[in-house]
Amino acid sequence: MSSINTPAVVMDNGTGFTKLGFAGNDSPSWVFPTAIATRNTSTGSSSKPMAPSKPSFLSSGTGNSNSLIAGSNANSKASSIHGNRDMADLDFYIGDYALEAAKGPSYSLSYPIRHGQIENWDQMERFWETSIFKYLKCEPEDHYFLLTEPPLNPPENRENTAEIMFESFNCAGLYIAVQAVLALAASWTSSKVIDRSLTGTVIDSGDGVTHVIPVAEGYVIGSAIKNIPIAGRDITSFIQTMLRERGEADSSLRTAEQIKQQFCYVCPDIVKEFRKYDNDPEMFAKYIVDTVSHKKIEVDVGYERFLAPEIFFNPEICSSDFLTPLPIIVDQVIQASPIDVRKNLYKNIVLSGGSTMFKDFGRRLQRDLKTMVNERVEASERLSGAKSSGVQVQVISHKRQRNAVWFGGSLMAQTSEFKSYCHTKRDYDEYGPNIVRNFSLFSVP
Amino acid sequence: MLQLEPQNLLIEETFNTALAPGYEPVSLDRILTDFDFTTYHISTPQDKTKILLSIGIKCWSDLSKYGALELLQKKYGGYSFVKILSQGSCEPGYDVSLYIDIEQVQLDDEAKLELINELSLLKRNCFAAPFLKAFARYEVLAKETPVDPNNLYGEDSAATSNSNEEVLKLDYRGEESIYIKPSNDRVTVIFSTVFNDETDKIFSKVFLQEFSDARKRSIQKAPQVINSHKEVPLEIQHIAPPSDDKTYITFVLFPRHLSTEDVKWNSITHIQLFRSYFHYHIKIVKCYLHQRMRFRVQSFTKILNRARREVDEEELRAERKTASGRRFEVK
Amino acid sequence: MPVPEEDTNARIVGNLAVLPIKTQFKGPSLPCMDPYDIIDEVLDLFRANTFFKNFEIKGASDRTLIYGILFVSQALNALSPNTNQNEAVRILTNLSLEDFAIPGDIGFPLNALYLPPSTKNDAVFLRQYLAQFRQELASRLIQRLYLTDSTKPSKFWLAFGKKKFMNKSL
Repeated sequence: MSSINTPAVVMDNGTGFTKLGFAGNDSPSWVFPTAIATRNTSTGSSSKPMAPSKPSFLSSGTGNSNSLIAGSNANSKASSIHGNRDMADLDFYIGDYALEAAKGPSYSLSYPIRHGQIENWDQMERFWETSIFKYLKCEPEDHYFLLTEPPLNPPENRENTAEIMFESFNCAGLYIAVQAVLALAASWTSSKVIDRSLTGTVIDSGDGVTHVIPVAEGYVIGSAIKNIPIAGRDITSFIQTMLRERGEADSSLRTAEQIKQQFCYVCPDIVKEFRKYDNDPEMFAKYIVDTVSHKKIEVDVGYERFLAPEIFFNPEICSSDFLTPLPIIVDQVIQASPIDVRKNLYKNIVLSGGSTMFKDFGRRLQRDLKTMVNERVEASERLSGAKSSGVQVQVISHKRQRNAVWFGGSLMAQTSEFKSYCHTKRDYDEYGPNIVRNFSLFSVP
Repeated sequence: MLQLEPQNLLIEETFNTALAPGYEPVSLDRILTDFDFTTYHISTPQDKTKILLSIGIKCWSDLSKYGALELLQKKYGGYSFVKILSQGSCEPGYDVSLYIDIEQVQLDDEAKLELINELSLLKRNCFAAPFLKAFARYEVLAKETPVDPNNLYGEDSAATSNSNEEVLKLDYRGEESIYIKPSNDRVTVIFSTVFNDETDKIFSKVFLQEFSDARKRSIQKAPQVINSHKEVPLEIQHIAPPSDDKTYITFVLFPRHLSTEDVKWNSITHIQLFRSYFHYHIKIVKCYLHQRMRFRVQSFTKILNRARREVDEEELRAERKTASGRRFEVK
Repeated sequence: MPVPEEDTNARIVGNLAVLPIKTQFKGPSLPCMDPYDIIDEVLDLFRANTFFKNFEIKGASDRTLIYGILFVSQALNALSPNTNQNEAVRILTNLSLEDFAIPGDIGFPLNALYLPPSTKNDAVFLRQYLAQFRQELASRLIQRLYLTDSTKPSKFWLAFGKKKFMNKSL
């Protein structure tokens, strides 16, 4: 195979969004919802049986799609092998088009990934198929692939993934990396990171859930992982409630989402922040909604600017069942990890995902965590009488935070060694799917 | 998704945003790919408003031999803000670069869309050159020796079939090639393709059989398709070395497919994607089969589960013995 | 969660601290020397605290604070988005002087947290103090509500009336 010079494909399929692109780029080429809209079988299949892979290609000089379908439809009865097969398996949309198609009656929308893990392999296989051929426009036989998986992904899922990638798509080579490890690698672009180690605590907050994952030398410490049921979606709905309570002219989800992205920030102290707004009316912002009918609606933006992200630090604000603030969770996670890596976990706390993008998110986290850790250090000094060497707490924010996992993958996959870490199609044919249970870790360049 | 689209969606999107009103220039540096070892690089090397779109094609030397550059000149030369750089002056590592000064683009919306579309079809345009050359040659030949009107079935007449007409050859994927041969009443396009996977070979046979059969049944307008495995078709026997693992697919384009400019381009667009299309469909058939297999396994598992015997409490609590005779209780 | 500072010198009735306030209204409160009194504190903490359903009471002054916060909620609910300043003064003066329950009374919603005053004198004293407290709080609340526009109250403030601090209301 002459796939030496083609760029590797990096695919990060998350619960909410999929990021696709090529190694070496600094941002993914495509970011769209991990959604697939399939035709409802009750309406689609019965009436028009059509053969899928008919020689409809080049069927006529004009080649418009109507004649293609008509052509294949006409002779589907005579078809020898695909006789009673319809085109349902080709009639689907993914990403934003899926959301669009699902608004109509004939398509139903589903999300093949739940809680980070692939639940519906049929749909995922088709999702990949379109991702590769339509969006990335590449022949999988010519490319190496880097896929991501959540921490604690069962090895069977890896094998299933490998089966699809190698048997359906014949991809040249495959590497499956753990998302948290890639997020750590992505933080190397920050100037604060000096030693480029693969040890650290990753706080990955996307749309649905926030994970706190300790990683030691490239391996996830599975027993210490904690999840927080607060993430982007909760912040948006919190903003929406505030807009509604105030009776703003527009309180749609989209508006709330936009306000979240444009105006929200993390403050050091909410009581003081309220006073700041009293003294400075400039702090109140205005968001202008463009409606479909080209009317402009003005929405005032007030305290939600700092209150919304505050729910990470004071979950009580919006939820009644989950009350533990993020800094305490991070502390618990690190305390649950083996004692010899704790110092390094405190020293390298890496943010990843869209919901960590609020201004000063990292600073606040670092401050709260530092207070907690220092109190503990002081208490132990008092009790033991010995002087502690101190614990350094450092939270790292960087420019690539939003798509940190993808970016980390892109960094890894563009190194010259990448291909030697992959399992190739030939390995797969020789040893079977269980080879993907193990991937050697990247050595730190 | 039945068809593969000829345009590159990423290029389309990049220029859609870049040419939209109110675009704030950003620096770009993106690598993209397309089928058949085509790589693009979109970058803004000097100025954020000047986008460099470079394309690297594996078989560029073949394409340029057949006049790809002239064709690009014709396609994009009309735009004053597009500079075409080739050979020495294009970006190193790539074959042709288009340097587009987006500040200078002053077109109405329709013309803008047209431009974006042409840019996203860059790969197709490069690959179109040899086809156009063959079509032109066909027109010349057709005038020289008009087709015998009595020859209704398009049978080869001795005079034309073995003529020493030049065969255009593209080694578009290294081992795999496209051969194009014009004659006075047709243009023959032959693909050679290699399957790395044994199962793929079997699928391909079924597919190709369908291609040939379909034409007999109803789609008479379609080009004739002939396929052969291992056997090198007559037209190219003198230039293609015999090989064991190659499959040859021959398309015969009749005058109908070459009548007008639009039809010609349409034929080109479709035929050059044939190989990708073919491999794509083999892959999605496998996806479909996997789907069926999973379904089957699931229904079998259901049946097996039905046969599972309920273990009652009594039995669980009963005494058990190890091989050595020690007794133990199961809790 | 923001918590007020404990003032140990204040007189305690039942278990509620009678803290000095800066006020022109007649009542038993001692004159306040501090430029920042309990009323300011209530108004500063009100917005942040309404989000919390749990509040750990650490001392007698916390109860004064809670009472104040709940009164602000009540006051905000008495106003509508287009009440002007003069009307608001009238509505809130009525509200603060109307017959209200004090700890120990049957109608008082927070009897689980507040002890009744031990003597009748204490009860009379407490009622007078709370009336003064309510009037001063209402008057300063109005200042904040109509800071920028005297024709209608700030909608940002008004929205907080919908929250229920500790799931309680007066």
